[in-house]
Amino acid sequence: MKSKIVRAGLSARPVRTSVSILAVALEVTLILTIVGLTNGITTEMGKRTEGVGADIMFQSPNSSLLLALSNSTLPIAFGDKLREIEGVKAVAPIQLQVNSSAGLEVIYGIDSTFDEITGGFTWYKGGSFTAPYDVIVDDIYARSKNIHVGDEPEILNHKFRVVGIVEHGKGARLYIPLATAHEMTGAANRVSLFYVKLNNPNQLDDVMKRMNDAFPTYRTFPMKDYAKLMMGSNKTALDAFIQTVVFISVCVGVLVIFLSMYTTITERTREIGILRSMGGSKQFIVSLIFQETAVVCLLGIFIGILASLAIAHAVTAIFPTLLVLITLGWIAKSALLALFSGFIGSLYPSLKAAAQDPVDALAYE
Amino acid sequence: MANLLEAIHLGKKYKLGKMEIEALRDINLTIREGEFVAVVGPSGCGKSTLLHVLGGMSRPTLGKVLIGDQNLSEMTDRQLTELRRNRIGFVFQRFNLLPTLTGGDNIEVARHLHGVGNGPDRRGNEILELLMIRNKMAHKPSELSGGEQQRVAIARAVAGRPSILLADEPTGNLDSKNSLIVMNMFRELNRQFGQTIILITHNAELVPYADRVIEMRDGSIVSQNAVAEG
Repeated sequence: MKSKIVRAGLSARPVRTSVSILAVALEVTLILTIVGLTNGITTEMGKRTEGVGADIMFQSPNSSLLLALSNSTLPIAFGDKLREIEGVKAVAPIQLQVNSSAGLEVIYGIDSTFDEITGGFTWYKGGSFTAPYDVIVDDIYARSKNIHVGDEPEILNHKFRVVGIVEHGKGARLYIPLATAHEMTGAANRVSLFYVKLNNPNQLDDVMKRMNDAFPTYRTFPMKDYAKLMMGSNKTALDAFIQTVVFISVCVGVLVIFLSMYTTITERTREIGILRSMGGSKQFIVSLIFQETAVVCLLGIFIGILASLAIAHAVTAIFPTLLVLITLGWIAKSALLALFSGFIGSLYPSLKAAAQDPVDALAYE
Repeated sequence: MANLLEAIHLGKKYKLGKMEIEALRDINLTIREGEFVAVVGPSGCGKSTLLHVLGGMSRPTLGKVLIGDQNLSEMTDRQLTELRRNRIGFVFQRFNLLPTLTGGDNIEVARHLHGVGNGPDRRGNEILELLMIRNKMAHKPSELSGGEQQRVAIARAVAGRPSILLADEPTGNLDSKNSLIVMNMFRELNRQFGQTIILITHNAELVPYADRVIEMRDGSIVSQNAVAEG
């Protein structure tokens, strides 16, 4: 019977019910899309960085794991010293640049040693650099920008010529000659990081210890853990961003449910009085309001999840370089958060409804 | 007939802004099981307030109300709610049906609150027949006439088999034809099912339907008389 009252109450006010459901859906969509986008980008970046094939990443002190935030402060001469360390097979200097003219793309400035680390690119079209302002792009970037070998896109305010299209998954999506990167930044003989490959990956700990002894304040990082760490709790800045988005989304949910339920109980004061006069307990009234909220939230969650998945699909279709990673964990979290915001939002209205004097409620016009 | 309800030195005051209104003054009355009592008096004389106090919707300021051996004045809010659920049925001037539910569902809510299952209910069916609303159960209140709405409200009020049916100006929003139908139905409920009824009205024409009439003025009872058989 309760469910009939709940259904009838919701269907009697279709506009408000729909708006409330959409607001909860918005809350869920906001959480899933933003978190999915953030996690997608970091995971994808992590996997790409792992895909370089290095065993160790060597960075300046206090560098960020988010490579786009790294500065070019490492002397390139460190490469030779790193090569001298026992167990090191190859060292590749990388100068990172961020191209923000069309999205946010990390560009690797590389030299021939990059092939020693990666084992070389898998070429789909074209070949390696022949001139300073040549650029190699990966297949996803080429597809998303509709770029072909021979095209001359503007990158970092310079006209580059696309000389090769390679399989994705080796660090960046765009690669330019290291010397050109130096020239463009004015940071000659400086690089952002070194990728290090070992003779025997099983000696990782020993080699890292040697590196740390040789460069005590510098940062060495085992690449096998990179993607995991990018997704993990150590990405403090991203976590803070996600928490802020989640908090704002939950606030939106709480306010919308509060407003919806508050106006509902105000409009239905008389109905509440009728139920109270018939012997409906305070708990009965509270449970009715909560059940209405639960139905609104569950429908909103369902729509929100579908909308998020649709958005994720659309984003990846329109922007192939972007990955929206919607995990089951975050679907569950966003659903619980929506239910929580519904509970908080309807708490006061339901208690207010239950506390109404039946005589006053029946006299309400 | 045993006494069912007793009001002893009942008083009720409430505040209206800074003014204190004495709505009920030293009310003493006894209602016996199966009795049909009409409470009459002009508007504002305290009839509805008396009904609310007798039905456990509001508390008296003074005195006590006894239903059987239960003293309403000493009951908690929860106990009063239980009392309304199990022993009282209300019929209001404005019908007060839940507008989003059908007539049948309105009655079902009362049965649900009372803890009666959804199974067949012979007495309920008989009452629907008596009230002539059996074919109106699928209609929402907005699809029913005033008289039909009031009859659904009566069926709802007696669905939980209350000890007492309290009716507050039940014909106040009805034309004379529907008023007649509704009053006859109260009479039949009383006669066929032994339903105890307290009817509040300012319409002296309805008095002959009752067994006894209580007249109120300015919050006090001024007379109580048996109604002569018409």
